[in-house]
Amino acid sequence: MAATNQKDDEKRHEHQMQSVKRSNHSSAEGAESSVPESHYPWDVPEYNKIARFFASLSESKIETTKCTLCNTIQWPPRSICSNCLCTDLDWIEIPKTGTVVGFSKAYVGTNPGEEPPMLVAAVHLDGEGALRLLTRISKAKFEDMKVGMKVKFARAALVNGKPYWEHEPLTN
Amino acid sequence: MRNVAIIGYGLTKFGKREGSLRDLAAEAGKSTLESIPNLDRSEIKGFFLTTTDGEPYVTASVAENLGLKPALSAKLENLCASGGMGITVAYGAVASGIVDVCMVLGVEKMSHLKIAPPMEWDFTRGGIMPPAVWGSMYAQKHMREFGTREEDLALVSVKNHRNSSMNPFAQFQKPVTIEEVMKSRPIVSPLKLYDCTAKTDGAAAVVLTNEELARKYTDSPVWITGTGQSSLGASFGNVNPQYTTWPAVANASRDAFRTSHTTPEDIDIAELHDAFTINEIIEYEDAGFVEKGKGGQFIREGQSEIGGKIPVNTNGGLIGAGHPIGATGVAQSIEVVQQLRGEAGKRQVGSAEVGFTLNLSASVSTASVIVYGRKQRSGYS
Repeated sequence: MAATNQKDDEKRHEHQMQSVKRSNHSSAEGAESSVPESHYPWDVPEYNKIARFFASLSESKIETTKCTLCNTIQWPPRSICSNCLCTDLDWIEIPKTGTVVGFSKAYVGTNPGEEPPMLVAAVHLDGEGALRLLTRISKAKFEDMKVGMKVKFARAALVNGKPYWEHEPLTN
Repeated sequence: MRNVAIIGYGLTKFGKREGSLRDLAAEAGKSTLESIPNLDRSEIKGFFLTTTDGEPYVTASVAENLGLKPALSAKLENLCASGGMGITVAYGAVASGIVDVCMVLGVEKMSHLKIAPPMEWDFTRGGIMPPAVWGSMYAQKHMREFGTREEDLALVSVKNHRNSSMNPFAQFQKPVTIEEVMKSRPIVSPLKLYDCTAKTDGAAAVVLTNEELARKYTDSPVWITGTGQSSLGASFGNVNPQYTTWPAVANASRDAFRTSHTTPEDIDIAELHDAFTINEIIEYEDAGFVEKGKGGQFIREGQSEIGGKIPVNTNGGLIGAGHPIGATGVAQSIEVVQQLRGEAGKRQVGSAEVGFTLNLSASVSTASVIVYGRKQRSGYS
């Protein structure tokens, strides 16, 4: 019992140090980190059943969960199906194409090193689940943007522990 | 179930304030207690603190500062709708008889924060966290679908700054012109600096009691005649798929009108949740004051000005008076109480009988509505 506790304490300490390192890192970059860190690390499976969402972002994939019982897609990903409360869920990649329903130049909320304004859009994804998200638009100018235009997934990442993704115009 | 009235209130000056969250809470609590001289502090059996502040046990600490020893106390948090929701919960506690006298104290200390409030849980935003981004998406679609103009948004800001210039507790004391709003720096197009709220420190409190006790404390109780609340999710990607119509607002308003036995035509004054100027315009519509799409026309025609059909945000709203998250909904209630009692000074609308408040959270996923009357509702439905 005592040994387990000691081990747990060590682990917790490790996580704490990781977290400290991360915040030191961002402050070293003069980060206007727009989102403070969680009090526990969301990208560590032991602390979070949807840690894979963060791991996938690091591999430039946006994944979410889908219920194995009723086939409902959860967005954002969850450890429980909000439709039938089943906890047996599969991971799937979200659809890669969608339609712009609104777009804008944002002069606030940029990440460190990102020059404002950033081109942002609300996109309704194609396919199952009719998923909706906000995204950054790359390879396009504000003047080129139109409501109703098609976009495709460009890349994803984990930036300072936060989700980050971009879409770009779909050109055939 | 018993009828419930607000019998006293107090608030701090809103803005960038010296002092801690506890200091601000103490200031508003003291002023509230002083507004009800016949109330002994020992009679306050319910105490709810509404704030997004994360410190554990802060409610007991604030109660201790004010010399309160409540039987029932809790911190209540629902992001920007914390205040309205807190008053609704207190209303339930008093109406049911769990407590007879209950204080709701909203407080927020924000000026030291880089960005507030944090919203880590909404992964559908792809790390694009400023609320003005969803505000801009809703605004653009309303402009496209209904011909709402950027100038209409600006008129909301002009009205609310004019009102806040007559409110000594407001963060912004100077009126602005439509040109100043239109030329203010872009935040997330089409929203500009004066279309948005600022960071605000502040606190506000009210005391509620039942119909048997109300007259013991005041000759002019303001009755809570109906309530409605709707929480439809938390994430941008899961609420308001139409963008220009907000089901949470419609649900909460419908329930508040039903329980108060009123209709939108009965409302003499409304405090709406103008987190952005576009919000106020869409809320005119979804609360039921105008048809869908006519919100821009409503502000253009001056119908929501003091002296108009339904004066809206006479205290300056969130844009003019300030938006100290947990205190905002409580401050909205205080404005209605002041207007119904004829205590609103330069911004008094004349005689007002029925008031309405709407308090919202995160990309309009939760709405909390309260209807107030100078007259006690007959019978409990």
